[in-house]
Amino acid sequence: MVIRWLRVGLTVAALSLVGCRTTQPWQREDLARRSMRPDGDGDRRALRDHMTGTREGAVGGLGSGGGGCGCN
Amino acid sequence: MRLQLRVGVPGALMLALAGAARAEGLRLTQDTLLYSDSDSVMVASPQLALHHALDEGGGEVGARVVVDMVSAASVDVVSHASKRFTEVRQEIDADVSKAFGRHLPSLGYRYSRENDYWSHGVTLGWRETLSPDTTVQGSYGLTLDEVGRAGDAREHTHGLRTHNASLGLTQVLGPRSLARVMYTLTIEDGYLEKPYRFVPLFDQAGVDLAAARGEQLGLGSFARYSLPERPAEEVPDLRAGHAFALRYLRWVAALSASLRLDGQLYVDSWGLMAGTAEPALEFGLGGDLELSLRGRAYHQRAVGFWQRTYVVSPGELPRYRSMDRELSSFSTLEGGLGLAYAGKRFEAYAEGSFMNTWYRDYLFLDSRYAVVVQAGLRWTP
Repeated sequence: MVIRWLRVGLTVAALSLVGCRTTQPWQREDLARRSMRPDGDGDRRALRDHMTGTREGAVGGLGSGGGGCGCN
Repeated sequence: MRLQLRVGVPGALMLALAGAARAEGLRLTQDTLLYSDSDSVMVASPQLALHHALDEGGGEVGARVVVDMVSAASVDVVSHASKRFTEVRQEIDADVSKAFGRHLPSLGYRYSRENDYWSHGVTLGWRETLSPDTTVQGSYGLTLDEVGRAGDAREHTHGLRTHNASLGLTQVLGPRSLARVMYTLTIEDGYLEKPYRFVPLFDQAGVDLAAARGEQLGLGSFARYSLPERPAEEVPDLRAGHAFALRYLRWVAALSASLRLDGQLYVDSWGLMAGTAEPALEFGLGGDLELSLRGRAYHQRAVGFWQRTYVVSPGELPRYRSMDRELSSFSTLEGGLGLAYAGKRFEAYAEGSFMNTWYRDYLFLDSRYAVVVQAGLRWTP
């Protein structure tokens, strides 16, 4: 199961790099949209990540909540 | 009075931040998250943050204050014959980053405290723009926690060190899509138990008796069949976790919407494995309004030493034992929607979601549902 997911992830990552060519400035209108920011809204995300982080066993990845227990 | 004093320090900081936001070039954000579940847990988390851009390369200085107000009478509490409790957690973050050509180093500090938990964290980050389409980033963080019991003196607390290192790559794939891959290593070293949690033990005779009577051991019946002793939770002092994450963003012109797909795989040295999938769509409604739809699926397999019931021989004590449901096998499904307004100087959003969790092997609870509501304001003076 783990190996299968790893393969999928690495294949997608490899295809991302191999298939790319530079996107010109005049082609970036859609990339510049607010909803296309890869980091999203950090403050909005921080609250939610802390809420899920204290209720699940997994940590790390694209976002993780602040420290402290906050459990129950 | 006690609650007022606890909220006092972050409250004063919030007022100071609000005052500072009158200066130019600043961005003030306010968010509030409300959580309520069928396990009698309610949380309210107001948050205030201030950001000031230092350059056009992404450098900024920022500060954030958040308070978690928790009221709980969950099965964790009830199973120890305790009553509902309330507590407050406060967190203060500060960070600074400054662009030097293609490089963006950053430094962050975080402090949080509860009446039985104190945490200091420092994070060093680095981002480099390799080309207009490719960015790499890395970070290292060290967190030092003290874990105790409410009312204990600080010298009786236990220590926990957490190292966190991440490495990521963000790649523009074309005029309408980009992807990010991220690896995170987390090493926790120290006291990882919950000081209030005690584990019921059973002998084979008790389990057989419950079966003969046709009773499923659970929250309402475990005390009738468990042994008199209930030892404290015990887990290994060292835990190493690996998280592999992927984010894919695509602008879908036909829908006038952005599609976001997040996925994550997590494994750790305790044997816990978890997978997360989180798709989201954000539609433009015309004008400055956006509608978002979001889903989330999470599944984890329990740690290797997890047991629904710890059945022992006379005098035996399992080396590792836990009743921490976050270490058990469970699945969560979540769905929600939100609405956002984005003006030139003022932004606002509100979103709500419903989630359900199914515990496969947890003695005290089979399932739980929760409602989460979050809203926020952004102001650029």
